Amino acid sequence: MNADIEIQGLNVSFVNRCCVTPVVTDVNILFPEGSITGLIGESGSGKSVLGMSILRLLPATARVEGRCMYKGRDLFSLPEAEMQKVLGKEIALIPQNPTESLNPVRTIGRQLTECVTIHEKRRKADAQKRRDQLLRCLGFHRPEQVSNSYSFELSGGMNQRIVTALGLMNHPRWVIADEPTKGLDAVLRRQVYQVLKEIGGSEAGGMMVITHDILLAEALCDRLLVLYKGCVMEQGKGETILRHPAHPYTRGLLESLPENGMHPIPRADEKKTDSGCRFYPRCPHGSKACGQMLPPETVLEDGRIVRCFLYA
Amino acid sequence: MTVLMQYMLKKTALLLPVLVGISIAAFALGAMSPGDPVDQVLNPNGNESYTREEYDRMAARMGLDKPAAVQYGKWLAGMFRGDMGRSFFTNKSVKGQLARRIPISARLAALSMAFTAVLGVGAGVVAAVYKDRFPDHILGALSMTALSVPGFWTAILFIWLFAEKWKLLPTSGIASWTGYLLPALTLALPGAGVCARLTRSAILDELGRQYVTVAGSKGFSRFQTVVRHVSCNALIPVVTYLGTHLAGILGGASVVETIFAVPGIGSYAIAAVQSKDYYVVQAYVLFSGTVYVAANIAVDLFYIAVNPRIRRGEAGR
Ligand SMILES: Nc1ncnc2c1ncn2[C@@H]1O[C@H](COP(=O)(O)OP(=O)(O)OP(=O)(O)O)[C@@H](O)[C@H]1O
Ligand SMILES: [Mg+2]
Repeated sequence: MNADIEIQGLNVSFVNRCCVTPVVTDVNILFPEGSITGLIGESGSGKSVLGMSILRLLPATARVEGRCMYKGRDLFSLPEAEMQKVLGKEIALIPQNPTESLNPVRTIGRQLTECVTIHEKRRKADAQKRRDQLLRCLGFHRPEQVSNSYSFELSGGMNQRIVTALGLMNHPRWVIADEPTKGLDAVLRRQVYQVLKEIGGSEAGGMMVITHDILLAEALCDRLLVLYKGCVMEQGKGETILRHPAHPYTRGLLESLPENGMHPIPRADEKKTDSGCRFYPRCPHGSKACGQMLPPETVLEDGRIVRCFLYA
Repeated sequence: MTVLMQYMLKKTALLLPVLVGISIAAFALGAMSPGDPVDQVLNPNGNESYTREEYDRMAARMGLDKPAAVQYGKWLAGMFRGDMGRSFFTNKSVKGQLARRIPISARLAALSMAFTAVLGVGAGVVAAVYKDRFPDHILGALSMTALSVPGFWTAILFIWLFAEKWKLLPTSGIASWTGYLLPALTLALPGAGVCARLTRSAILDELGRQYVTVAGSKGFSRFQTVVRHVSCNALIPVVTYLGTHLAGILGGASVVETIFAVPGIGSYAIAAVQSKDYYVVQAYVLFSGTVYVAANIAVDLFYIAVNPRIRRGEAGR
């Protein structure tokens, strides 16, 4: 069966006593089976929230609307017991903040093997083999020793690689990797990249990679998705987007990179509101319409989807 | 395990001076408090007269004619020989009495502890699961009541309800095991209230942590997450509390034992304090002090055992 993930009309907001804060707005994406999609965008743009909403792991204060189709079923309306069979086995997570993501009183080894044994108790030996194999690939020369440690005994970079192993343990069809190379030096970054690339290639897994590392995104991903304040501004082939960015925000984001001369995006114009296009207050091309309504998603000739009135 | 060994040695080495301190304090307290045991023995009803000579003879027989330091020394020497002295009044050996009464108090403490743990942890888990909903509110009110109502009041209420009104349980004595139920429950309630609140907040704290979300991403159900991941972390403060609580009630529950006429060490001590039966009071203080210190060491050991941060040598630093 086709294992695409398709998000339709996703809106996420956080509700508290005083107000409702929207953090993801009208997101429609197709993640084709076996593809690697990069999610880029500045801090706070809603990348993690988007990823966690697919897994239904947002806190209880989050209100999620829309559908997430996978293998003919809507993950958002699946009974809890069914969802648990999907989690970790069909779709797994490589979480952000590795050190907080690990239980401080449980050994690393057990936290890794339980990814498999929670689904199938009998596969303990398999799980241990897989664990040692993954740890070796991720640059740990003595897997047994790491397995017997606790998260507080390892460095941040080591824990980062542990959570990468965590997501890959059970050969999932899909991996959502939230900044898998954060805090790693060049050598280790390359190693993690290699592992993700191999998994992506050989085990036919699809992947969503959330990252600030545009170079990683370029090298690893087939497709890119640019988020700004909860809206997908532009999505399409990675190469095309990085060579010829269509959306003014994408252009600004790329020009602000050190390798492109570090030209920052201008500050927000306080007279303009972001109730229409989220980027309107900072956009050099803004027209009147931009302040009034969210631009529709437009499909360009090269297959890209852009949310901007310049192309509508 | 070397950290454990070091820790044990350190603690046991500390135990001895603590015990000596406790015994001196107990002795001084007895010597300083008003009232005279010799007078109590000679004139238990307050209407008999005796001569000065009779008084001196009795004081000498009781060993109370010597200076306090000598009395203490003799008593301490006796303790090392395993001789705890005799009661001034009944002339029964203190050791024999303790040997008979400690098992009774221990049984009461164990049963009460079971009530505290089951009611407290159970209520805490339910309250955490139903946070801010009806069961949570009810249990919150109940645990607040349980921990703030004094034991003697609960005791009276229970006696009235279970013994007089419904005639289900005996009012006093331990002729059968059912006699332990009311005192144990009375003793357990305040601790159960504290324990419920502690458990609830510990679980809620842990549930907000990111490793819980990550466990969910592996396919753990809520229940499995609580059992495998949250419980170890959340139980640490709860068990620490239960340990010190047990230490407290093992030392004898004087008020409850007296109300329910349970012949344990608590009621023994109360009677002895009233009649200034020095040796009994001292033996009791020494016993409950030792138990208290030992239970605290046990709690620390547990803490080391479940907390890898300490086990892995941070305690040594
Ligand atoms: N539990 C929460 N309650 C309220 N608001 C939240 C919560 N979690 C996230 N948000 C808000 O949602 C927005 C998006 O957060 P998100 O974590 O997805 O950002 P991000 O793109 O992953 O950023 P980063 O690159 O820094 O990880 C932020 O504005 C944040 O304040
Ligand atoms: Mg994030």
